[in-house]
Amino acid sequence: MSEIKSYRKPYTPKVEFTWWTKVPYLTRYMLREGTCVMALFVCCELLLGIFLFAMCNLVDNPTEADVAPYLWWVNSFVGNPLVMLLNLAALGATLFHTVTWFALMPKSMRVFMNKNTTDLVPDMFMIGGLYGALAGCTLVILVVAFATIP
Amino acid sequence: MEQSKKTMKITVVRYRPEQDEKPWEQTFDVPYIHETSVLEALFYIKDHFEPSLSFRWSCRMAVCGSCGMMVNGVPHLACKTFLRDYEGKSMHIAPLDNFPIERDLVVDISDLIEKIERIKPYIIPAEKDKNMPLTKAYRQTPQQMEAYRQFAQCINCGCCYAACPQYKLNKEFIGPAALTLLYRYNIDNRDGGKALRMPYLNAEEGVWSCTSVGYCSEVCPKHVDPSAALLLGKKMSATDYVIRMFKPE
Repeated sequence: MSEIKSYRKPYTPKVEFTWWTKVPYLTRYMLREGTCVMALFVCCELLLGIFLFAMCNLVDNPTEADVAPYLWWVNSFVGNPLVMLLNLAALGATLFHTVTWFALMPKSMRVFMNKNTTDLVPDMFMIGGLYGALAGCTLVILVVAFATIP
Repeated sequence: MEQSKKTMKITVVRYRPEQDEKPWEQTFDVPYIHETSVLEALFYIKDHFEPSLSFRWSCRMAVCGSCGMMVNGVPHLACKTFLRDYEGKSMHIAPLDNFPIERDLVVDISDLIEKIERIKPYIIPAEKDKNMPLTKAYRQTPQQMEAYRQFAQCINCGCCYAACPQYKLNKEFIGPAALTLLYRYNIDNRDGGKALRMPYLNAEEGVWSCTSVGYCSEVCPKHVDPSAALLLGKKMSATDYVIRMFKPE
């Protein structure tokens, strides 16, 4: 044992609740993670619609009274201006999350151009591919949605 | 040509364990020219104003990784950060975030060192290479090297740990630099120690504690891009999980 007195007294600063407001990068990260709240809202909204649809009296030629719960959901709930605004905000949040998510793709996929090269597939290819897939899926959903309108 | 000398107000966080209860700040007027780095500004303060100011440094050229510190709240290597880039502003220099402060700008990075040691950051020969003579070399193609080269540039400066909010909130997290090294050795074709490292990668405090904040890659002075290594590590961990479901040891 050393006879010399130690003055060591390491100081550990407290973690503040507001740590994510100090750096713009981290604020943006919290915003990105925060978009899940809007996604949760849309999930609940759709679940409510499904439950109200299940509550309807589904006969062959339903009257308005038979499908009243579902009609209330379509007209009074989704049709509510406040809910419409929330849905628009949810769309914006999801698109923001999509952009940041797609930008991460090249980091998680390191693919070489061919067997002998040291060149990686350019980031633009992968990100472009994702946006292409997004556009394709959106198109299919829209086509199916409009084609099934009676 | 005589360069006109400008001055900058530099505030340095001080902490002397033998007499201070908590860190405090001291401000100095430091003259600088185009080439003055933050490290040289600290030398100036030590030589002219405050001989007791403590900070770590060695190589002065972004190789040794000793002089990581917070410059205006962002983790930087003091030797690779220049006063000219802060012209017209003041500068605030603090010890690296998320590590215990030992004295002034010196932090205790033993947790980082322990984690780097824990993940076995060296080539472990595969069973078939166990008795390979020392005179025989491993063969590695340029592409096999390129796969890990970027992740091998780490100088253990700790800037990524200072940037990581997950490490800030949970000190158990193995963290960006150590997990990047783990991935780097796992994909090295000369290595056969993957099975020994996978438990650390798969663990709760391993790669799954990362939420892809990405700030570690933003501040890394060597452009290692730890967040990319951790994303690739997650892929490796998930693949390993599926394989072990069908092929138990």
